[in-house]
Amino acid sequence: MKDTPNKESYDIIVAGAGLAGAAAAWFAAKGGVSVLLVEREKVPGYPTRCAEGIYFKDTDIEIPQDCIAKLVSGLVLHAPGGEELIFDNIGSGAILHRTKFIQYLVDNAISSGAELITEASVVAVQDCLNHQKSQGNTTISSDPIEQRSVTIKTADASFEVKCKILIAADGIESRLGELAGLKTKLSTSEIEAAYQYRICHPGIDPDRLHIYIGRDIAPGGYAWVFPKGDFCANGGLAICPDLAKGKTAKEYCDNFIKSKFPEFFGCEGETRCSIQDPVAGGIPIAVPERIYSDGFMLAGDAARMVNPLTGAGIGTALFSGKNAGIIAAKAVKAGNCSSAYLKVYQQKWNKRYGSLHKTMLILANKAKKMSDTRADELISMLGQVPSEARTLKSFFITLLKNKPSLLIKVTKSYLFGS
Amino acid sequence: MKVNFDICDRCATCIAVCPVSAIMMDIESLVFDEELCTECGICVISCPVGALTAESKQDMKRVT
Repeated sequence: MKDTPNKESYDIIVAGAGLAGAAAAWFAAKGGVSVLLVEREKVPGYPTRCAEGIYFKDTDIEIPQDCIAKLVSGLVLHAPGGEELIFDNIGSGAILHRTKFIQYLVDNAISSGAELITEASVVAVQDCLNHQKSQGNTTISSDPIEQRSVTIKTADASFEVKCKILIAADGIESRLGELAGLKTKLSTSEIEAAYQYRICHPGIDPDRLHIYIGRDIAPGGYAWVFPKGDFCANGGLAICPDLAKGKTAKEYCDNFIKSKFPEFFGCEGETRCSIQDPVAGGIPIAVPERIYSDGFMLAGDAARMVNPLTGAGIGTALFSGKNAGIIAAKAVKAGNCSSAYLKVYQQKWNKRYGSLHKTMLILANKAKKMSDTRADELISMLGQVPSEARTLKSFFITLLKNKPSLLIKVTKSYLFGS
Repeated sequence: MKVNFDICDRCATCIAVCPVSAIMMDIESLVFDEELCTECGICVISCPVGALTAESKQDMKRVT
């Protein structure tokens, strides 16, 4: 892997070779423009800070079979008091081999003509040439910038590289949005702190997602066990730091696994039993505001494109990366990289996910405030609904309206997606 | 701010929540801008592994 760009100027620079960035680089390169993809890690896709679940109706890029770890047939919701509610109408989904999938996207980007540099970060973005726009002015400039100058830092050097459009897909920690004048700051109530292990045990349910809720298990969030095949799973949780009473996500996660899966401990040496690959992570719980500017686009976690209730961000990262790449390439070819041209990107996002994520944010805030007693009541009531009419949508509507009678009316299968 | 690099997982949650953008991810490690840091402690409570601890600014200057 190399860490120095070949050229001084590209049509498009993409910061971050995760799902959104690799998809953006692929579809921009496919659109016939020059693309530089900049990745901080040595190899794109590592480590996997993700539970790896996706719903197929959310996939805008076809996922190769060898990147799918396990197809999922249902979901078991575990109430704080221990009651289990089974949902078998959740639509089709899967747990991915996410790292492998990112490598697939990056390979496609490279074979379409994109250049990849690794162990390098985009640390700054400046306007250059005829830029007259005043600070904080969100109106469309009559004299848009023609290029942006981007600073790329490696372990021992720093480069200035020019581009017509910078696509910032550098994850939750992205500061490029702010540097380009957009609002991406998160408060502690707009973030979930997460921790996860790869757990393997013969007792793992190989077919269903398991979700555990409860103030003592995962305050302001939930714990999950998502099967990956071969009796292994991603087992972890996310918590709201404001509600965590001074404990870390790792402490909650260790307690969760110890209390729910005591059989994992003391089984060392047995085949097919292990707890390994711990990863920490942050999940943005917000809805994207403005995601474009002159010669600038935000995608994926950097744009806060995560379902605020479920924390699911793979489908939205693929959607935003693909569309950002396509639109950016068209803008370059049209010779117009102004915000007026790039606005269509925001419109596409709003149309597909805008109102859904706003609703999910309202639900997430309600769920955060819900007591364990209320959660037990809701789950118990939902348990009385025939299983074929029992959907997650019915659960969420009950949660939103606080009217269990509505459950009866809700029969359509629906999950987290659009 | 003091970082325990033995347990820091470089997940960058602290960077996302820092209200004054005082934290940077370097290729190898986290870097705090002591001039900007207000010791508000938001990064400390948000860290999934508890790798951050607040110190007085004077202590920090002595350490670095």
